[in-house]
Amino acid sequence: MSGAAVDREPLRAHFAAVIGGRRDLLPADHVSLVDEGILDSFGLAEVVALVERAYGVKVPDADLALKTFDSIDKIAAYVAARR
Amino acid sequence: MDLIGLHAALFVAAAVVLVALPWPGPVRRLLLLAANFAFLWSFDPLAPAIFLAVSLLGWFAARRAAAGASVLELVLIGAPLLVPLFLPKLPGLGGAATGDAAAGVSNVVGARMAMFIGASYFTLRALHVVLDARRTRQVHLGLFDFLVYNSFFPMTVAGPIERADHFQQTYARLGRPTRDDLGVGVVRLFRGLLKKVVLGGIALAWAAPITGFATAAGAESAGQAWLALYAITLYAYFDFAGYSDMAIGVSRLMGIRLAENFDNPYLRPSIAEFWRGWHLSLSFWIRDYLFLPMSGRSASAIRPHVAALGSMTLCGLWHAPNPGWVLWGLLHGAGLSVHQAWTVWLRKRFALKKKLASSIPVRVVATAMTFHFVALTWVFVAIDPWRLGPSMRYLGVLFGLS
Repeated sequence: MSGAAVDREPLRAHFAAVIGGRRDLLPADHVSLVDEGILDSFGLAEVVALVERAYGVKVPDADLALKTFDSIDKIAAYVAARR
Repeated sequence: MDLIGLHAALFVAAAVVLVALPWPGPVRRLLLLAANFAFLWSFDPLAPAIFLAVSLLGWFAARRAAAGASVLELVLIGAPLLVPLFLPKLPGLGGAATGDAAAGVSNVVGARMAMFIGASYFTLRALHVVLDARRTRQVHLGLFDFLVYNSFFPMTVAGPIERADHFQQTYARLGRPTRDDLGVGVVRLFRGLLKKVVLGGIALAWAAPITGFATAAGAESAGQAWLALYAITLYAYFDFAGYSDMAIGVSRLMGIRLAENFDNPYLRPSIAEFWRGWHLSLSFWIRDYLFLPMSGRSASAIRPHVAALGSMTLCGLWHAPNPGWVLWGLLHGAGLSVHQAWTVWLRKRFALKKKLASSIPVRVVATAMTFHFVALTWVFVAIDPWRLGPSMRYLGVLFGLS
């Protein structure tokens, strides 16, 4: 699943809010959010809550890891695979 | 017996040669298991029995978890596993033991005590297998190989809390080290000895004004107190990272690659980064099995802060259920929480924290602040973790208040 069909707007809006609403500074979808200092363990719970709320996807405990949600591309692919 | 001394050297040499002989695979693993049990027995004749009880219980719980057992059933099966985690560290049983580098800070750790500390490590490894089985619905190792993994003698005394899946990656190469493995193993073994015995010994000697503060003539001036604090901080690293180097080196001589346990923790620009360099196997355990489940799936920005405080306090309790270690855990949890609040503010204010964090002057100041924060938290466990009074008096001396 590539996640190409997944609407990424809620994800971009969330991560833009994390960096003070600066959409112009939001990295490309394939770039690691952890490496860019935008996502860490503290922010993971919010992202998981967003994925469950916005996409109706249930995230099991086994997937509670930064590597699963490390970029917008990875999150979209995860959502597509879990639907 | 730990990995230091003549008996240990002979044991390690014999074990490395024994598993390297051209045995069929099952015989090689059986010989390693026998060596692991002999190593446990060297601490206390009861140690192999305690290990077997913990491991068999853990294995059974893991199998039930993989089969989809309820949380209640797993708690009922696994509850006895909490005993070796905490009970031996109570006074009068195991003594006022500590779980890692600072063990030697305020206690002379006898053989029986060391076994009990080891017990908390093999119990954490067993719990990890149970918790992973619940998540993945699989148990990756069979019972025999699980026993070999959990009793692997280089990890017995002070960890690491090697993950079973990582151990399994090189398990097939047991007894067949490459030339590279042998070279790296020898270098790591001697690097560990240098850290633990030489550098750790020097640092501990300089730390006398803090280690003897509660019972003997301790630091009397602020300068002396700061010097001793730096010394005990370095000792904690050299002692524990040195032992981890030795464990990694001995394992490598047998073809097994353990995960790294330390990565320059005192050169980190934040407390969150410190925990990405200090006792990594414990840090990952706390993050994956305590912090992330406690954080849950909440949109609340507060809950991860509560999770950080809760999980680090439990981390302190695991080291030893006494006021010093609990306060140590609380302070690290609070440090993580405050750092996160600062990070969130930086992100909103400067958009990308990464750019600010790459500034060399900012990194130097942040690293010095982090080092001093960590050093000050050692005060509560270095003097007498069962009483906070001497630690508070020492802080008074440090800051010229007494």
